[in-house]
Amino acid sequence: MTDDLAPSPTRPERAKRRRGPIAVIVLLLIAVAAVLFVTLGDATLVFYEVNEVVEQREELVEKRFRVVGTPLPGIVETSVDGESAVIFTFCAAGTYADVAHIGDPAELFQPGVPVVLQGEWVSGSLLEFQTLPNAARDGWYLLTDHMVVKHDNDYRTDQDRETDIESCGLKE
Amino acid sequence: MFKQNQGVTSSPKSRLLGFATLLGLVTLFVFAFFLTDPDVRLHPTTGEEIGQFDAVRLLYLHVPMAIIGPYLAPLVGAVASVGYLIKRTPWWDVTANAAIEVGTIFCGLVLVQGSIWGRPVWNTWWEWGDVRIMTTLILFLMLLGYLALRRIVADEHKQARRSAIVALVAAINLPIINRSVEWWESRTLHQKSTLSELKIEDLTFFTLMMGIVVFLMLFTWLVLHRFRLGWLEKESLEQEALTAIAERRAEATTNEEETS
Amino acid sequence: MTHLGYLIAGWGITLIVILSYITSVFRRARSVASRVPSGRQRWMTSSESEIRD
Repeated sequence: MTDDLAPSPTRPERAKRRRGPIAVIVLLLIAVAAVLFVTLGDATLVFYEVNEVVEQREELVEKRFRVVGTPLPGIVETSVDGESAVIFTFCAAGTYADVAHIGDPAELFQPGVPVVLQGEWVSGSLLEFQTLPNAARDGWYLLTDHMVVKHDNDYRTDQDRETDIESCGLKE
Repeated sequence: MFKQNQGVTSSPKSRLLGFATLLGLVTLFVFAFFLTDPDVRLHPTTGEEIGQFDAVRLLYLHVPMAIIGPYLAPLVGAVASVGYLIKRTPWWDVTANAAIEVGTIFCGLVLVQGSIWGRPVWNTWWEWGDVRIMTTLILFLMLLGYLALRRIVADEHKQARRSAIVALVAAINLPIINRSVEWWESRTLHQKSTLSELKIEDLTFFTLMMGIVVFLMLFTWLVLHRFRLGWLEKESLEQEALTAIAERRAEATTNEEETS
Repeated sequence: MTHLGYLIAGWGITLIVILSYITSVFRRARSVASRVPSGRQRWMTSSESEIRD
């Protein structure tokens, strides 16, 4: 009853008051669409395993992709084409790939801690791969420029956990 | 009315809850910074120290708030919205609004804390394409949309009905956020749930549990106050309408007297 | 302590935002309460059992 009798704002006044929130809602809808577009539309956002990128090397040549694996001991700090780089061997499920990562590595980057790298396959080899103890040396290497650490969800301090690195035959 | 230096939305029980929450937050801070160890362990194969080191202390905030902001608060909002759609009484609408407003703040903070934690641990402030982060961001944007919708001046019931529908649409996102790390394992950097797999122990586990309890108390306290503010706003609008009607009637009576 | 800057930022931002929100709720409540008769502010004027919280 009160709603019927209460004086309501005039039309232009009401429209003016609505304009701000409506603009915000439109912007939010555009933002949601943009997030979905970026998330679903970019194929490089899928992580491959090391064995997958080795198996699909021919199809992946000249494409940028993401690959997840575990760096093995024997990381070499060097420079490639005048830029600082780290050279190491990358492994998952017993498959190895040599990596030249351009730029500073992640703060928590170290052997045995899985990382996701973004880059491409390059044919050839680098001198530093000769010094790596577990190098793949298969005539190809991954040239990457984006590195993120794939942290696990385990906070226990015991040491009984099996790690990816063991599947690469390094425990012995 | 209300006493000076005291929130008008306070009651003896809410004050007690407020003090308990404050005490809990201080205790949580002491545990998080001084009593728990940093996350450091020896790698079983390489023998080198690995872990998050002191960055783990951010998780005592992030995990409890992530349980509330993107899950509990929108869930409470959705349940209250269903309540409104069935009962059509303002209590449900005001409750939904209170839970979602507090939840939006928690959800925004969860994204910020995650970003701050991600820089030292993941080596990135933000990871486009990470399904957990993206679904949480979409929920946050939807919750902001809910709050914006409530600011559009419309009929009280129409506004409550529209808001309830948006709250229910936003709630569709909740199971997607929760399962995202399982469903899109090859597209997400975000780790799986530590608590559901119980990969945590001792004081770290205790502190995390304490954080969840303390933040649940904080959420309850905030929602309680926001609910009471919402109720006051509703009463204030009704009061304005009643005053306007009384003024109109008085005006009409004066006019009648003048014409007669 | 490692990552101190990140810890201060994470905890600090959270604290500031929550405190600002609490302040804004209290401030808004005070301003609205002045327009509502005390008889209709249930949790302050009635017994606790009448509050649906």
